[in-house]
Amino acid sequence: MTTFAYYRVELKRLALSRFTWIAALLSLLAPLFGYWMPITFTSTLTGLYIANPVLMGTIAGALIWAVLTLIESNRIHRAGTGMLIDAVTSPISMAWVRLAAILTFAAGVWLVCLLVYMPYTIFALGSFFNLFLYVISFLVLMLPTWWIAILLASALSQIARRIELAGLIFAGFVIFSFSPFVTDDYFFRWINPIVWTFSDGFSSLFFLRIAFYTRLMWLALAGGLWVFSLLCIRRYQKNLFGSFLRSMRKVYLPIGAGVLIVAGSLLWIYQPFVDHGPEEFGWDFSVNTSVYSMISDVTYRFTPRPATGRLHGVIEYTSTVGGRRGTYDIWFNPGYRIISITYDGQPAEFHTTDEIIADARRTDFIITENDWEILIVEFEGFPTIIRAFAPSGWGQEINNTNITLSNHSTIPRVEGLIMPESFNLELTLPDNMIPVINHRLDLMDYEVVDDGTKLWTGRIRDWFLRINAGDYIVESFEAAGMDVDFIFSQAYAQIMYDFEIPQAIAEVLDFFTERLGRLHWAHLPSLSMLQSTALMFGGIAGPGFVEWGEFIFTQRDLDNPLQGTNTMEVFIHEMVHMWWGGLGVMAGWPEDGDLWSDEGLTVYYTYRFFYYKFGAEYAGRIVDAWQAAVDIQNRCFYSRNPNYFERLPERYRAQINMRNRSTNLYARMPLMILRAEELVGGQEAMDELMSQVQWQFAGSGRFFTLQDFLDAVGLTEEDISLG
Amino acid sequence: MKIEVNKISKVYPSGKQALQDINIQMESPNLIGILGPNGAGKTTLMKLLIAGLTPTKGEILLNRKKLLSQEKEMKSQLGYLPQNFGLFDELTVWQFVDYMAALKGIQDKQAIETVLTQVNLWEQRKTRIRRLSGGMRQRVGIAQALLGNPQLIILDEPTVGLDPEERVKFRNLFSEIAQDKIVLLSTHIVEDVQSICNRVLVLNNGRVLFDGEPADLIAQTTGHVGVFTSQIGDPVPEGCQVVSKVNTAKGIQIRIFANELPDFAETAEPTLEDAYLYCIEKGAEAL
Repeated sequence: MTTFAYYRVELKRLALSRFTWIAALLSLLAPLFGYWMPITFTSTLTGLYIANPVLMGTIAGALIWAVLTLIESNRIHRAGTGMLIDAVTSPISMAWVRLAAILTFAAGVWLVCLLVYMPYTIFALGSFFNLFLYVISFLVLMLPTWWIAILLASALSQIARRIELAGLIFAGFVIFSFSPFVTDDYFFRWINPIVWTFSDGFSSLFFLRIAFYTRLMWLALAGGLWVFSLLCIRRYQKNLFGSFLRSMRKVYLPIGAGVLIVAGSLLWIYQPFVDHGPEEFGWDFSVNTSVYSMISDVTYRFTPRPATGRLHGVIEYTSTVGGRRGTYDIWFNPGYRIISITYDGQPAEFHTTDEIIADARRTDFIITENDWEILIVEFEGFPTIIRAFAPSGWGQEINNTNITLSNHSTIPRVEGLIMPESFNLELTLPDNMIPVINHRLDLMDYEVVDDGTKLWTGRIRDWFLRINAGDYIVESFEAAGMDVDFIFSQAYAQIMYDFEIPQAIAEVLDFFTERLGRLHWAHLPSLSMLQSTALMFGGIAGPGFVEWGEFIFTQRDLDNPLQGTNTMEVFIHEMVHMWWGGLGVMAGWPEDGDLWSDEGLTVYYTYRFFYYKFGAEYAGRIVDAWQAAVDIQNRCFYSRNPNYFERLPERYRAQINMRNRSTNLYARMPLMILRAEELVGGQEAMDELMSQVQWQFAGSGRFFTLQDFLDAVGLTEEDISLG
Repeated sequence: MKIEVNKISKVYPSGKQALQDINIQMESPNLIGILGPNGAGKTTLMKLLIAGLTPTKGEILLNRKKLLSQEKEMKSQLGYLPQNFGLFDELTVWQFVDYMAALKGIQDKQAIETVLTQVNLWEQRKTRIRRLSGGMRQRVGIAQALLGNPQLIILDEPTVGLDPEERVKFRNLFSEIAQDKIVLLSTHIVEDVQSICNRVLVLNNGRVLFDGEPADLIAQTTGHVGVFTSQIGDPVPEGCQVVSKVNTAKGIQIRIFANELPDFAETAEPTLEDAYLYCIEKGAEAL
């Protein structure tokens, strides 16, 4: 009698148990709750109709199957059925068989679940339905999590033997996964994998890749624990310790458990997604070189590999005056591995350190000869997320519909090389992708390569390099006397046209140009309006460009203007930033709040657009919301009692400061500006004054401070103070 | 099949000595009855024989090889009915026996029909186990033990819960199946052993007090069992153990055993029950 035959009969027995069918039914119903109790943050259709039900099914199903596993184990021990079975076969063999049977049953229910929800998902998503995403979500999120839960529950019941104790420990595992200690950790959330959202327009592989990896890690760890628990199965009426010692004679068990646990631990230690840098974000790069070489030209050749999410690159530095010998530092995304460094064809010795600052890791390399002409660095790797920003998932991404790379994931910082004013960029992309370099479309030309790719080349003058590339549609039109490129996902074409988004952009630009004057960036060949992926929450703006997160344009919010007010605000807000702030300095966040004008005036003028579009009553509600936020801040005990505030631990002070800063920028400042509007004689007078200063400051590189504002409107801080 | 129990001792972690230097040889065919009071070590011995326990000292050989090194082979030839066991209540009688048959590697459904007929459960084969009476559940246990015609059958208190008629029927069944195998029958009911066993083991306090044919055990007791008539209030003579008291018209007829019978007692033909009790008593005296 083989173990497989045991497996068949155990499967049959499980199928005859009413507990199994109750578990199956509940697991099938669980995803329904995902429609009403959303788990993801944004309103993309795939988030609402795939991610939410799948995540709910994942979590609830894991609990249900774990409970079933505990009940089944307990029944066999307590009812004494085990005595009859153990007389026929080995309890360790039967443990394998029982586990395999319950895993199989769970897999069967999972498959039914996948099929049952598919018709409604197709109906709800319409053209956004993506079979691959649907199946892979079930496959990566739900099934392995159920299996992990079963493995843990089975292992604990084999170790503890008592259902109450095993259940209690299992509950501890669940609470741990939901606890604040791991809220922002991709790797320890075993039952509730982090999926902030799914993308309708681009790929959702970012979260799915991490989820797949963490599922694999937890399967290895839970599997290891389970194999270990086989050693604890009580045999020959011995206690836990006696049985353990006895079963240790089966050396493959401790070895198997050890291998799996070590594998799971290694997967965690060497995870490729989040860098191993400090938790606090810093930007102070150490300099370990005293040698400098003049570089006359640089060419960056990047080949993103969408299938694996990796980037291959070759960088060629040319020094016509001859480079110097010495040690240089190159700072790269920590996920990249340098394959080789050569100068004039000779290999340079290099050493990658553990030093990580911001989004880069230092590698030292040594050039032993003077007067070198050509330095070539070849690298390859998976761009990691900055640890300090990891929870947001706002990182780099390479997949088949979207590429987002910036900072040291594109151009490495090389200490010791003095760079020229511009560089060559060569990008090999799948032929469906269009690159947007530093938010501009006009910097690159392409030639078609036979292998289904396009080679894009261009000369770039900005040493901050951001690469966006996607399966875009580019809609070019004129607004307020400027050329505008609206760049968005192919998948969103119907929505963008049905809801007349290009016309809406033109209307907003016209409105502000009329009131604040011609945009300083109007001299650029075109303004770029880019729809980014669902990984971007909110948006960013800069000189001549706006980049919105995907959720701004979701059908649900556009269908329902009231529900979508927030997203509409973001839509307008980012465009206003082209007048106020967004001077290429938004990446920083100075402690002293010098950026107040960026957000204060932007929020105020966003309100002005709503006033114009929907009337005073609607706009009044926005003002009420500002006032409510300020009132909360004023009522705060620590705001009123700074002495006590100073006594708080630093962590809590930082939280309060962060909240106060947000209230100041997005509520208090707009209210102060609104008061200034009243004092200077109304909206038109305000626009007249502001149109003069925006042109004066835009592009000057100087912050527009509160005093600058007061000078412009001829008021004092007391005049506009809220008291 | 041959089983040798060599100098086996078993001490539980609580310190209780369950068995002490036990030596037993068993060879098929053999139907062995194990008799002993509660706590004598009967169940411990059986668990050792099915590798449900490991001995503290000594070894058990199955066909001249260590039992624990051929656990799998032993289990493939074993039919075991523990004293206390559970069943999957949600299954029907047939489904449960079918499940056990599958675990034993028996594919022939005829085997299931045979055992269900043997234990008189064929009519109830579609009844859920949760609906069965205690006696019927016991029969399901016996059925699974008999499945597949195992060469070693170990039955711990198999007739508990059965009505007298059923008990007789099962006794005969055990006798029939023991033609070519080893059957170990642990019981409190001496009559069962007397009726069918060709060999009897008497255990007490972890020791074997007797190992042989029932007739030999009885023979050992010849001359030590007697009867006399007494009146209410008369004391039992010193050194005598009472086996039974029967009220008659002449008084109370008392059956006793003793190393030396009193003069007034009339010697009686010993039964196996007398012999068993005498053996236990003698064993206790020896300690």
